[in-house]
Amino acid sequence: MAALEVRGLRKQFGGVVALNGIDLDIDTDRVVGIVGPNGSGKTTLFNVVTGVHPATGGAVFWHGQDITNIGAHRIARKRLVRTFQQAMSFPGLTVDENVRIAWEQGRKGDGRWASPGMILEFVGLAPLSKAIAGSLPFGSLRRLGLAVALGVSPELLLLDEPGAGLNDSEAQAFAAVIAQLPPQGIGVCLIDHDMDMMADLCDRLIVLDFGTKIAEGPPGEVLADPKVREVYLGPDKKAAAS
Amino acid sequence: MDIFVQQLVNSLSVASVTILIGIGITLIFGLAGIVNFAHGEFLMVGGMATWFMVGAGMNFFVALVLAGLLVGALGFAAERCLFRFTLNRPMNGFIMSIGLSVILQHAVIRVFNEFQKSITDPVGLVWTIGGVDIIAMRAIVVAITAIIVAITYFGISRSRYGMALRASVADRDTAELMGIPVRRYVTGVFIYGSLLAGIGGALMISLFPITPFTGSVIIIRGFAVSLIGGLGNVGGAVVGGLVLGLVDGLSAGYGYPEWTDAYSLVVMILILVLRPQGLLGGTLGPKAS
Repeated sequence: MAALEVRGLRKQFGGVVALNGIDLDIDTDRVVGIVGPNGSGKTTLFNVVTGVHPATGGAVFWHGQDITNIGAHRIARKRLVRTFQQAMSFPGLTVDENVRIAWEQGRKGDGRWASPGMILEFVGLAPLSKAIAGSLPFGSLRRLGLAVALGVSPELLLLDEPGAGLNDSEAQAFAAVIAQLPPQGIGVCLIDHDMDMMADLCDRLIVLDFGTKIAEGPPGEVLADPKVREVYLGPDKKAAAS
Repeated sequence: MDIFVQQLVNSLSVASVTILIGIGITLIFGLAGIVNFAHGEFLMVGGMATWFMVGAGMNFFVALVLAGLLVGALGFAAERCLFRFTLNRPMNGFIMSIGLSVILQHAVIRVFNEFQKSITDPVGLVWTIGGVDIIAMRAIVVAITAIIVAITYFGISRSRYGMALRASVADRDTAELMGIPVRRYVTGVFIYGSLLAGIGGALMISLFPITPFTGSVIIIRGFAVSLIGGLGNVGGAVVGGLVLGLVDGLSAGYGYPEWTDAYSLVVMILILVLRPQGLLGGTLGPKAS
């Protein structure tokens, strides 16, 4: 049994079906990537799984327990934690305070981090611990978002476009930090548009299109899948590519 | 000089009541986004309860504590039964609070009557310090407020719960995703803010007579205090209360006393025009989702 099981998950906004019966199994010992064109339902999937938006149908199980629609803070306390596309932080507080708030909530978890400082060391922000979060450059703000999420002692971390807005070297450094998480017992499920990074980083890719899962498997296989190529390149370009 | 010092103490005692109501308003707005117009009536109920208990022979300071607890319970009931349903619709909460304010006024008139109530000075002492006569109760009001402000400030800035509260005020959604039970904090803030209003009402009736309509006057001052300092900022409520209290006290002593309220509101308007976020910077309240 996978740690996170999603069964027939549906989400409708009025007449728009954002998720149309998604099934997923995600474990906590690997990096799983979720890809798909804009509007395919990736962020909505995270929102519904983590209780930010209520599900219209289907169910989410965490270690076998039904956590559908139980509320965002309760899900976070079960150590299923997500980040937003915008860095998750409080701009008016210091870097240390930001992480400390999350750490205070998460320290009843597995006690992985003895102090907030350890998390800052891990993500490379220790020298900036006294800086006001709102004054950080974008790359550091992204790291802070990750540090805050780690503070909650996640068992599975859902990262929504962690590399968005980063330059190549920042994105590579960020990916290196993410790659260190599964060996420490923190599973990662991430959304990103950088297919090279996703192919390198992920053990498994899941492809969504119009709220439906159209492919799943090792990155090499998934990216070679004709349905996935059609979604990304379009039917005409696919023909040209082949 | 003597008159100036006396006016200063008077100003601080008036400021104390507005600071207590301002802290409640600012916390409730900052976290829940609710402009709670009934908060003034919470203060009035605290004052009326104190009048009733003191009239029944209870010690003033015991009555003060009980009034705080009573109004804290009223705040709990209001949040659980009413405002929790408007958390994502702050305008509904605002209109509801106006309705609640009128209902509380009428309830108090029904239980007692519409006439003003007062109690005798609970301490009845005048201290002479350096040749200046200071009414002891006014100094006690300032001291009680200072203690409450210190507890609130350190609780918010140093404690684990205070940090979580600040995080929730800054960004409710992010705080929830960190595992912070924001809804529980909203309830807690309602109870605490209401408790302070109850204590403020008790302190107020130890200084001035109050009527069932006092709340609708004091709420304007409470909002002025919160806006001057910066809505959502506890330190701002203290600074705003001091500014307004000094303007009140000194204008009563040296200007035209009948213009006291106008002076205060002119100061508020000027600050909001020149520094819309308030003197210490505030929040726009949580995003409505």
